[in-house]
Amino acid sequence: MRGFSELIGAPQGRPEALGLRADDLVYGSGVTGRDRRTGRCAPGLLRQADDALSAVEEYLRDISGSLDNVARVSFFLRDPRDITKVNEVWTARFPHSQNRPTYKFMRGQFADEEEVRLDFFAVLGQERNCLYLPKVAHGNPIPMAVRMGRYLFSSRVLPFDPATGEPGRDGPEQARFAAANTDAILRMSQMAWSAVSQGRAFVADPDDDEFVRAEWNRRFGATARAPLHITRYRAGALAVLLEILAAE
Amino acid sequence: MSSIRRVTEVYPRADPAGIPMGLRVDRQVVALGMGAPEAGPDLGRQARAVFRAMRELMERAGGGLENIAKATAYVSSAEEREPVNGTWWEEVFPDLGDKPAYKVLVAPLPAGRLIELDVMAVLGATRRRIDVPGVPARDPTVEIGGMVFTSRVHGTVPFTGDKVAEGGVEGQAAQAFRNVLKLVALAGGSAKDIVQLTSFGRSPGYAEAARQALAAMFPDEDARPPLTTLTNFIPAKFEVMVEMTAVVGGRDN
Repeated sequence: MRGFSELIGAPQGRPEALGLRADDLVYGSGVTGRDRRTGRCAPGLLRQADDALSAVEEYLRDISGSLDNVARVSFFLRDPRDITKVNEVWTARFPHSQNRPTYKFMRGQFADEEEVRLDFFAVLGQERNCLYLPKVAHGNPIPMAVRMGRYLFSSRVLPFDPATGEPGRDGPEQARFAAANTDAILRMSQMAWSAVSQGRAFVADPDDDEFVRAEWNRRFGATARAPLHITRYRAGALAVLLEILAAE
Repeated sequence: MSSIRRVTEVYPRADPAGIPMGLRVDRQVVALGMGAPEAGPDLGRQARAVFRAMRELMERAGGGLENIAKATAYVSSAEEREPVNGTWWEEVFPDLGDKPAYKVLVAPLPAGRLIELDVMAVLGATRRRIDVPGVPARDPTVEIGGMVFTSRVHGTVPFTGDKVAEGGVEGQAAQAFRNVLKLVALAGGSAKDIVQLTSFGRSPGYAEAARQALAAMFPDEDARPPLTTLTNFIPAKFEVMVEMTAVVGGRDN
């Protein structure tokens, strides 16, 4: 792995490493809208979200990349419902509706003036291939998954019936739909489950964990099974969401 | 063409917030900005808690402390550096001959966070300490799994009883770069294997002299390792320090 370096600040900037480049894969963690010289955040979520994306852009520019290389973002917000506000910034930064990274948003805890923090994955030297499922679409302006080069990054895949676009009736059915929709994404990206290196399920009710795990385990058969991490999470009627990361 | 085969996030044992601790890319593990504000408003408690989190990170990634290649701690003031650099770190790594590369920098931290920690590790490999003969170093350079990570290397002239090179910033930078090249060579590599060079000076004015020293050593720009210059705390006896990462083990690391 020769392309290995930390992403660190510009001259006179703050010294913290904000990410890592390993070959063509770039991972950034804990990116904020904090000014690197003053250590202060601009007031307001929108401005901070925009500043955080500027920081991502700046770091990627240092390694001959740009926001075009971003595949997936994880937003951490004081109130996850504020993602609708972040969408203003998101669509301004990524104006082409069929060519955007995907994202997820979660609750974060912040001690001071921070309103938003983000992690991101980017892939250098590759074009973003956005994947959408018929009848199963996010309400937010993101694709269901992004294939870039050898990597596949899904959003939190929705537990909707692919025939009707309606959420499953209960946890077990939602587990089936989320897994089936993940099957479809893998087919679209011409990847097999054996390429999946990690899964993360967002499950509202612990009683549904066994159904999610059963769907997961069934897809690996006798092959080495990728780890599945379960996070307790509730979003309205959505009881099960499934996120994967794959590399072939 | 990338050789990466496996990318996984590393999650803590208890995951109420759903936030990963770090990332595993094949054998490499990285975690950035680990903090422990929940340990309370005491630097010692937070430092020990964040070092425990480092251990958990490695266990959750499938390794242990023996796989850690390098760590960087951040505190809010120069006065807070010493125990983080010394006592509390040595509780985790008491063996002088077997410690990760390490440095403690000063950075503005969010309210409530008295320390943050970055960690890099290579699973399935253990550290080999490398020293420039005649140059004492508290925090080491290590080779691990074909990768080389230095701590902050200073411009000490070998076998002079810890004397720093003359010639101001440029002289010290030149000596620090020579020491870095010696470390790469001792690890089995050469200048072409350097993938990252970072210099540290006390004030921004030092940067140009550091770049000139590097340019003098590598007149051919194409062969010159890229240098990032940062301003941060460095001990009083030095004008410049240099940190380096190299990959000496080919593409299968």
